[in-house]
Parts: sequence; structure tokens; C-alpha cells
Amino acid sequence: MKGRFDIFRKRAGESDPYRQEFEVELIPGMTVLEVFHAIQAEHDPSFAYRYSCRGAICGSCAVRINGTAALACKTQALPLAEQGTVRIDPLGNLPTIKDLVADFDIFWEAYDSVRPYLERAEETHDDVMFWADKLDAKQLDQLSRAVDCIKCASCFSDCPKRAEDENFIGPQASVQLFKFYIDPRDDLHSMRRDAASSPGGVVDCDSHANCVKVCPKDVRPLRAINFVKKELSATQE
Amino acid sequence: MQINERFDYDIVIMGAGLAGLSAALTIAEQHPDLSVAVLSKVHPVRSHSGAAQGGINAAVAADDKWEDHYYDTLKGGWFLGDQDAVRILTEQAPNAIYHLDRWGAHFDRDEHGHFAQRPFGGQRRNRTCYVADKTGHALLNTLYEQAVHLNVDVFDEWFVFDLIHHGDEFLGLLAFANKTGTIGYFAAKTCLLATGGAGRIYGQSSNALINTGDGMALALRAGAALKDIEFFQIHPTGLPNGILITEGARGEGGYLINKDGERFMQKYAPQFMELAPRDLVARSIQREINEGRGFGDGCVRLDLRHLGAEKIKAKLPQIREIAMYFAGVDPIEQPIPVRPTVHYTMGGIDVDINCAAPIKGLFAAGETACVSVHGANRLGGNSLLDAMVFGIRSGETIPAYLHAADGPDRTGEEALLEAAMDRFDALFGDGGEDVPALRMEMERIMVASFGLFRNQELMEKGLAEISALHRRYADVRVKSTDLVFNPELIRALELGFMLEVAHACALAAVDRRESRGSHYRDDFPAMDNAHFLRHSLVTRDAQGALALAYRDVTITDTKPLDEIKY
Repeated sequence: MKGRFDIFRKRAGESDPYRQEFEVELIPGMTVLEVFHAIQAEHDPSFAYRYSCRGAICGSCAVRINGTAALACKTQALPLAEQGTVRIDPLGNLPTIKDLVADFDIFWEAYDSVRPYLERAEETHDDVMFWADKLDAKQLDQLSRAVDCIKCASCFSDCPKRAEDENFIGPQASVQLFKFYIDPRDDLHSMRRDAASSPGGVVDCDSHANCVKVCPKDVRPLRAINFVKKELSATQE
Repeated sequence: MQINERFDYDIVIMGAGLAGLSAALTIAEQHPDLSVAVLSKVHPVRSHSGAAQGGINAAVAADDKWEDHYYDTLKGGWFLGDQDAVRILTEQAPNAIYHLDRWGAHFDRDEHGHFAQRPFGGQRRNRTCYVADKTGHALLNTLYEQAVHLNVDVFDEWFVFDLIHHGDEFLGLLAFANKTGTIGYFAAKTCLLATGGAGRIYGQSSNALINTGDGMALALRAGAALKDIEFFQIHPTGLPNGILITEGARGEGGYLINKDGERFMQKYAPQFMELAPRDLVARSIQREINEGRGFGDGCVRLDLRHLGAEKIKAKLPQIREIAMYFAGVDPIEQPIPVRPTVHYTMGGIDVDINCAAPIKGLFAAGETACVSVHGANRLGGNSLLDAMVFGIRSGETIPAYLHAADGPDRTGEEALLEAAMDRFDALFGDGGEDVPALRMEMERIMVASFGLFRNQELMEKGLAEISALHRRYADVRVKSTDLVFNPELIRALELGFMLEVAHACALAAVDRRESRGSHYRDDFPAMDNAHFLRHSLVTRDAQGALALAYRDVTITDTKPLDEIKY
């Protein structure tokens, strides 16, 4: 069948976006990313969007599909198109450079702000290391989820708190903070605690939980945020 | 168009996957006085290293020896790997693991707290370290974190379109920024090419869409050789869009079925059926498709339905998810469409064991390079390792080179840059050849003539077709001159890179009259050490004509076998 796609367009350097509808022949198995490829190859060679792995591991192709952030490569096109015209927009809470390409600068600034790296006083590796001795099962599960994060910015795009407060670092950076905060090898523990409780930090999350719904890797950012919040309140008491 | 900005660095690195980032980190840690720029056409965490699931091999266990890893790698590569290079790979492997652990990687640990290791094909013991089933992703992100930590200058989404050299001396890279359209000249004393593989020259590939052989083509155009570029590893079962369905599905009892409903492995390997060796399964599937017993979509089917919903959900949840998300098929209800898919580029830029190409100041590491360590076939778990070991190593050899050598002679640089910009300008205009059509034609030829079955007739036809296509590429024109996220331009440049690699592959493949590893010829089915225990080297002259030469394999201590059996 032919699917109809109503797509956000914006030329680089121009402020006024417009919308354009494309009809694309769909075959079973086709993903929304493959629809973009077809539009670029057959209808408009200038149509811009990001892609790399097309296997849901690189985090390049997140857009909003019918209003909700998702990876284009991980979304089947046919079932959506059968329900009507599919609306495609760039990610929210980020400026748009061109067509579906969002400007990630503020996303990476939030990421960098949590010092997203392990800092160890001892400049060596661990020959022997028992994770299970240092973290409980729930913490280990959430740590593993944090490692899964592909930094696609779906959570950032659809975070209502970030939409109303641009100081809030957003779910992704909060997950990163959590990841190093609970890492027993890390030596910036108190700095990370201060960062989490400062304005715009993890504590400012309003628990809308959109991040949990839209995350394509089931990272569950709100759960990571709640771990940090709980520990902060425990240490304050 | 004009060059808008000039950047001066000691070292410019092209590519920000495991090889490029580990080189950058090594230099930043050990030589903070040296200036390094990392250029990547995508953000570093989008690099294809992240797609590697399985793990990274290293003899880190107390009862393991690097010498065993060394022999397994030589044998797995059908003895085409250089023994001095394979020694470095395997002897330095534990060091790579220790670096990654120190930088923050979350390696799985065993019950004694040591690095957990899983079994991988072709190795006599468990030697593959891992982070669950997301090893590449986890390691790539760990390296990027440390790049943030060490304030490495990363130029993400900068697309390199030309390499400037004066004779056999490297001068710099020309690139444009996708975000701003700025054209930058990165004048540097040295360059590390770390741009990954070129699997996208095939129409059926597990590679990311960005794996277009950019570094290989730039090196070839600059006068370096591509070594053993006829060797591309092919995985038996990929979805129509190339995403891998791992062996686990067949391990749990999945059937391979042709369009007549026949379990065709009965004909090819009645004893092992679907669990026959990888290359045999791949060739059997391809034979069914070639002989018209595939389905309309050019695939056979991997049928799991007889296993039942319960077992599929319990044992194969990830395979089910992959089939549902990327092929729109629930294997509980429908068989999965699969066909062989190109997975890894064993060949690459000819470099020595210090990662140096014959062009002064030019280095390469990782899948882009061919040192060589993988020979005619790569062992699972050795690709991340290659990127790490030779990434780190280049991060040591490049500073050593800089210490010993003066910077390049920049006399005449202006004229070279003008000529390069003229070449770039000539790409724009109206009319001409259609990029998507040429790309699809290249992909078709590579699968048909240089895939699982190769023979003289098929390959001669394929070589002629690729040459003709390459000539047609000269007429490609890009309409829009706006450099900001211009997919038409990027796809045109990438096609130019891919055609260089495809052409070199075709030339080397036709001439190798033997079967070795991934290079399987039905007209020469045996390995022939007397004539072909040597590396192919493809070079290109300034007019674009390719030439083929050979170099003996480096043998230090291990006599190559005359037949490979497991």
C-alpha cells in the first residue's frame, strides 16, 4: 500500500518551517527510517535526517512520530500508515537545524555538566572486582540500564519538566549522573551529590515519567532519578 | 567554494570509533603537549564500533596464554595474517582490557571477581571478555566519556572530503561542518585514519549506513595501497535490511526453509543440518536463492514456529524483538526472512606494525587498516580488539614519529588546496548520473560477483561492470551547493569512496586463484600456499588506474598449515 507521511520541513538558516506530504510505497517490514531513505532517493534529494546503524544501537535517528519521540529505525511503517497519515517532526526541546535534524548542542551541554566520566584516584585497573559486593541487585539492574543509554535524546525531547524549565538537565544527563554516582570505583561522589541537588539538577525532576515511556532501550531514567533522590534525602536526614 | 578556516594540529584523527578514540586518549594521557583533533562525520557515540555485541578477546585468565590466542588467530585467518602483527595483537590484548577497565568499562566479572569470558568460535578456550550483549556500545561510550574528561578536541559531524599530500608527504584534511557549512582545512603533521570498514559496498550488509570506506579511499587516492581488500566476511543470516540474526536461533532448533518448504540443509550438510559451519550455511542459503528457490524478497526463511510461543519467548526474546522491530515479523506466527549479509572488511590500508602507511605522516588503525592481523577471515571478538590494540599503539607510535621527524614541507600547499577545491567545485552542477541508481548498481554487482560464490567468469564480468560504473561516477553532479546537512552531497561523496574500494576488491579478487577464508571460488576450491600465501596490494595512479602487486606474508615462528580444519 501507499503510506502518507506529513513531514516537518525547514531549510537551513531560515526560521519558517513548513510541512510537506509524501506518498511512499510501503512493503511489509519497512521501517520509518527506510521511508526517509525512499523520500530522499526518490522524491527530494535534499531531505535531511540523521542515521547510522539502523539497528537501534547508535541513537542517531530519533524523531517524533505522531507526536511521540521514537527511533525511526525501530518503528515499523506499515501498521502506522494503515491508521492514517503519519506525522513526523524533529525532536522537541531542541532547536531544529534543517528538516528532521535537531541541534544537539544543549543536550550535550547538559551531558557534559554532570562530568560524565569515571574519575579514579588510583590510575589502575581492577584485577579483581566484585560488583555484587558493592551494589544490591536493584542498583545493579539500574546501572546496567544506564549503560544501555544510547543518547538519542528521546527522553529529553518529551520531558515536560525540561519544556517549562530550561535549567533542568533532563532525564539523560540525570541517568549519567546516577551511573557514576553509584559506581563504587568513582572518586567524585560528594561533588556528584552536590550537583544532583543544585538548581536544575536531578532533584528538580517532577516525575512525569514520559522518559520511561519513550526510551527505546528501556533505560527507565525516572527510576535512576529516584535512586539518587532517595539517597540524597537519606543523607540529609 | 572557499576554505573558510584553517586549523593547525600535530595530529588529526579521522574517525571516532574505538580505534580513533583510543588513539586520542593515549596521546592525551601520555603526551598532553601534543595537539590532537578528532574529526567524525557522525557524533562519536554513533560510530559503528557500538554495534558489536559479542565481546573482545584477550588472554587475561591466569591459565591462558597469549601464544594460544596467537595461534587461534593465525589459523582462523588461514595463515594470511602477518605473524609479527598477530603477536602484537594478542600479546597486547590484556593491556587493552586493563585500559578499558581503568577508563570505566563495566566488564562482566566471574564468581572470583575476574574478567568473565565467554566461548567464541575458532578458539580453544573461553577468551572473550564482554559487557553483557552490548560490549561495543559500552566500550565506545566509555572511551567517549574519557574524551570528554580529557578535553579532546572533537569535531563531530564534520565530513572529510579530501586528503592533501605533497608527493609522499601528508599535509592535511579538508572537511566541512554539517551544522554550519564551514569548510575547514586541518593542517597537521600527522593523520590517523580510523574510519572503519567498507561493508556498504555490498547490497546485503550488517554494517551501519556510514561504513562507506572513506579513509580507505582517501588513502588509496593519496598513493597508499589497499591490502587483502578482496576479503569480506559474510554472516549467513541477516534480515532483508542486513541486521544480524545470531546463530542462537539455529542453535535452539530453528529450520532453514526454501520457497518449496524444504529444509534444504539436508542436501548440503545432512549430518549437521542448520548447525553446519558458518561459511557452509551461508553458501547453502545463497545457492538456494541463486537457483530460484528463495522467496520473492530474495530471502529464504528461518522458521522457529515449531519451537512454540513459550520457548521462543523464554529462550530467544531478543531475536524475536529484532525480527518484530526490524522486519515486522513475529517469529511465533511467521518465519523470519533471512539471507547472507556482509559483516566485516578484513583488508584495508596497507600499514606496518607501527600503523604507518608509506606516506610520511599518514597512519591507519582498526577496520580501516590492514596490518594484517585477521588474514583471510576474522575470529569473533578480534575486531574490537584490533581497534583497541592498534588504536592505543598508534597513540604511541605517532608521538614517536613526531619526535623524530620534522613537520612536512608546506611549500606549494596553497596550489594543492586550490586544486582540491576545484575538484570539490566540479562535483556541483545540474544533470549527470543519479547517485541512488549508481549505488544500487554497485551493491548488486558486488553481491552477484564478489559475494559467497566467486569464479573467473563471474568476477571478470563484475570487474568490467564496476570499472564501467566507476567511469560513470565522473558524471555525478550535486544540485544543491548548501553544505548544511546536504544528504545529496554526502551520499555522492560516499559513493565515490565506495567505488574506489569496490573496484580494488574486484581487481584483487579476480587474480587470487585459490580459496582462502572468506574468498571462496568454486573454480579453485583449495587453498594454494605455493602461489597465494601472500598479500594482495592494490594501488592507484593519479589518473585513477589501479595496479595489483603482491607481498609475502611475514612468517616468524609458525609454519602455515596446508589445509584448515576444525
